[in-house]
Amino acid sequence: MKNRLKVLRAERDWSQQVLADHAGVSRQSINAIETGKYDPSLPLAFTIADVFGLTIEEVFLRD
Amino acid sequence: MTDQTSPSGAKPYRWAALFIFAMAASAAIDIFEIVPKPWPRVMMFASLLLMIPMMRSAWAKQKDCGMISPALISYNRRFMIASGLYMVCFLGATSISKTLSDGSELMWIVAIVSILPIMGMIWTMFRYLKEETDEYLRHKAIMASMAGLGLVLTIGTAWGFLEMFKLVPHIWNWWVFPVWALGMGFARCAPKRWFSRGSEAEDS
Repeated sequence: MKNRLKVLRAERDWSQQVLADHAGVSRQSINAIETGKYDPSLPLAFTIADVFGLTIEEVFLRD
Repeated sequence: MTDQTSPSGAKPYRWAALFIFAMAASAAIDIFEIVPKPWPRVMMFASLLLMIPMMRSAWAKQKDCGMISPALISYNRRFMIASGLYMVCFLGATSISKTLSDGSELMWIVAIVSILPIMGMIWTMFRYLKEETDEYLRHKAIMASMAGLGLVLTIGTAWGFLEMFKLVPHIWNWWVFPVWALGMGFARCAPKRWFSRGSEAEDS
């Protein structure tokens, strides 16, 4: 699953750690999701989308 | 802002290598009776102290890598206590057992005391999987545990067949836990792509 985490973070000048703190997960989790090595569960995907104030479809994309 | 936190310079692998070397050297000195007893045992107990900087270094490394969580901190603390108890109980039990008669009640107690810390380590792992709220870290822990189990099954089955054909000697079954822990440890250090589902993305 593709995602726009890197772009969305850059727009807000957030580090992975800042996003991780907002989402309540470890920085390694954000790194794994952002680089496509791990697909988050639906609840975590919703949480990340909420952190950005966007819908899931605006953050995560189909392959 | 950058994605990288400042590294602590922690080198847990060096401490681990030093710990293994110190324990192996102490064991070799004991087996080949290079120095009189009880000095080899004293050296082994002294080598155990290397676990403290090793674990501290491992924790600093985990923090550098951004893979720390409250559950992982509890797991590390519990596992270190259980590991320390195991080493002390194991070395103590093997020393005391030589003075006890076979099959005596005291021998049973000494044997069970050596087993309890191992149960503690397994319970610690179970508690970690229950307490970890970070799903990626939990996923990694489960995969690492499965890798450890895979190593035990592979070596155990292969050894069993080799033993059946009288190609290798019989070994005591307590090797399964250290080998499982070793496999789990190596898998935890494995690159992230080993646990992914064929993504082409690169590490950042």
